[in-house]
Amino acid sequence: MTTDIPNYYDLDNAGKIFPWTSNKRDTKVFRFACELYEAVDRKDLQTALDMTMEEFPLFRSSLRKGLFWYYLRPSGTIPVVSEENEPPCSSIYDANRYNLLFEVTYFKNRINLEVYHALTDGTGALQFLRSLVYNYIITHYASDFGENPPPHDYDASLTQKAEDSFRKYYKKTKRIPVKEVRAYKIRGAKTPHSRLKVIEGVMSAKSVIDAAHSYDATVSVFLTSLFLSSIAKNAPLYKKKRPVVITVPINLRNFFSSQTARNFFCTMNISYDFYNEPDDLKLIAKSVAQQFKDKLTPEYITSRMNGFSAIEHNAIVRIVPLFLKNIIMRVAGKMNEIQATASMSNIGKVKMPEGFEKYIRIFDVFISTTKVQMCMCSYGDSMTLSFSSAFRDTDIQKDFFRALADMGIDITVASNDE
Amino acid sequence: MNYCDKCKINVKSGALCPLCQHRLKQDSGESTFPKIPTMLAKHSLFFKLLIFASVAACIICVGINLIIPTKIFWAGFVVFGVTCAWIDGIFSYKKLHNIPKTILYQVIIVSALSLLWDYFTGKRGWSLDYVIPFLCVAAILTMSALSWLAKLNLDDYTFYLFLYALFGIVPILFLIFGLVRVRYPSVTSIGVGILSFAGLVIFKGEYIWAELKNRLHL
Repeated sequence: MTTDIPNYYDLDNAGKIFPWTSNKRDTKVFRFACELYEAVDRKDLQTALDMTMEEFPLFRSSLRKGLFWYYLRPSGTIPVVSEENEPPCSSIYDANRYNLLFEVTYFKNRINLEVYHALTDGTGALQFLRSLVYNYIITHYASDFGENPPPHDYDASLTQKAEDSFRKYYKKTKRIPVKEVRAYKIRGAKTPHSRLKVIEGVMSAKSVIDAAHSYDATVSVFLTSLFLSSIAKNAPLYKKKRPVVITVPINLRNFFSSQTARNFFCTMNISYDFYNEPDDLKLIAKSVAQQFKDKLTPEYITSRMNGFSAIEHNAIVRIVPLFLKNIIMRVAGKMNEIQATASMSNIGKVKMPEGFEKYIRIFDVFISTTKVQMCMCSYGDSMTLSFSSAFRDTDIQKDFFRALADMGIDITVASNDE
Repeated sequence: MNYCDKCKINVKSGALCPLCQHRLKQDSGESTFPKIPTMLAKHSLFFKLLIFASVAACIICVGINLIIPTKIFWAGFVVFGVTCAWIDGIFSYKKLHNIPKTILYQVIIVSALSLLWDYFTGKRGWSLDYVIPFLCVAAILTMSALSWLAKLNLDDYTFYLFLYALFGIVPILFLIFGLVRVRYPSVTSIGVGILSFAGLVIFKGEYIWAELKNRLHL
């Protein structure tokens, strides 16, 4: 029997929101997948996972309820890989089980990492998956590498990985007031059994970049614009009075020096008023580019980030017992929800050591949602655009992919709903 | 690989285009996701039957009692008894996966319900005399036995044992304020409570202090 005194990790700022707002429909779980060219071997994946756990001790924690806050507590549970047997992004956190906040599964050629958002954000999870895949490949294909496998480039100390960067960079400053409006809401029949409908399209990254350039836009701006216009196309005319708003997360590691494997992001809202502005992709892209430019400034981001943190540093909020915080935060979350129509995450380029292209086909991301969510990431020249949706209808996804196909892009789609 | 000529898009597998539900020519190719059968709520029919039976029993009893009046309205006991059983059952079911918490809820709910019963059935004082002290003793003993027998991860449960020990000491108030007529159950509970409290502090003091700090962190 060990009598180790448990250390604990305070939940980081963004992570605090997720236990309050997650439920069966919106599990706040996201999945990162890596598809290889060959079938995944269970035993080697377990070995790789064991190796990765040593690099990310923070992942071996469970979420507990204190009297005032949730907190992460190191757990003795050893994660075990299993064959995928649940729909994508099924709930992980269960208040009555002290389980780990992530799962590693596999199906045929795919390695899936599902993570509860309270533990980390997309960037943190991607770091974990990259290490996992790296360890898997050097284990499973050990004979290809001999004595010297290519080095893994993610270099952060254990302290750096466990850092709460929100706390580190919090400064009491004046907030820039942001005027948020009520956004157009997508309506329709939801999927049965709270299952997420997932559709992913794989295409050449270069062809998407070329298409984006033909609209004088970056890939992020271009795809956000196309997403906005696909939503508008499916909105009933009388509802278009409300602007279509897309929430886009910002990775704060790009603005503050941080190597943390925990949450460190904030969000911005990109909107377009289809009632008063023309529905022309070029003009949408222009407006979106301007909004990106205005919002991706140090002032705006600092203000957003500190606005998030201010709640946590507020003395009154701190002494409110957890169960009351739960109720308040749920209401606040609902109010926040009406300000956005959908969301979009750009994970960007996934980098793996050179020579790994012959083992890895694509990387892929999904996030749980009560609306429609688009995620994109690329590896080599393969770009994956994935939609997760709470709705049965697939018209937005259809219009989005058809528009890309009309630009001459060769797309291969797959779905969990065949 | 299939091709949807409406969307002009390749479809990895499946008989229908996932975008426009247009029927594709052939169904081949590897699927990317496993087919996961929908799990119907397995127990739902069982519980529905159980609830229906409870409601039926209550109605029948009240009916009989109304037709054949008695000095004491016994059907009331049936209705309240069934209600209490359901309250207790629902809470236990919700916490089924967390044994220490289940026990904690049992102690609290059964204590509260027994107080109510006692109060509304003549204030005989049996709830404070017997039920609450023995519940606390039972909780401490069950927890200790479980952590030994089931080889549970003791660290996770130490904190709850600490809470039960505190509960066990509560009947000291019954003695101080003279709320009980029968003293031995309360004394037993206080004794067992203090004993486990002492044991925990001596053997696991540092751990409990750390856990308290975590849980009370502002």
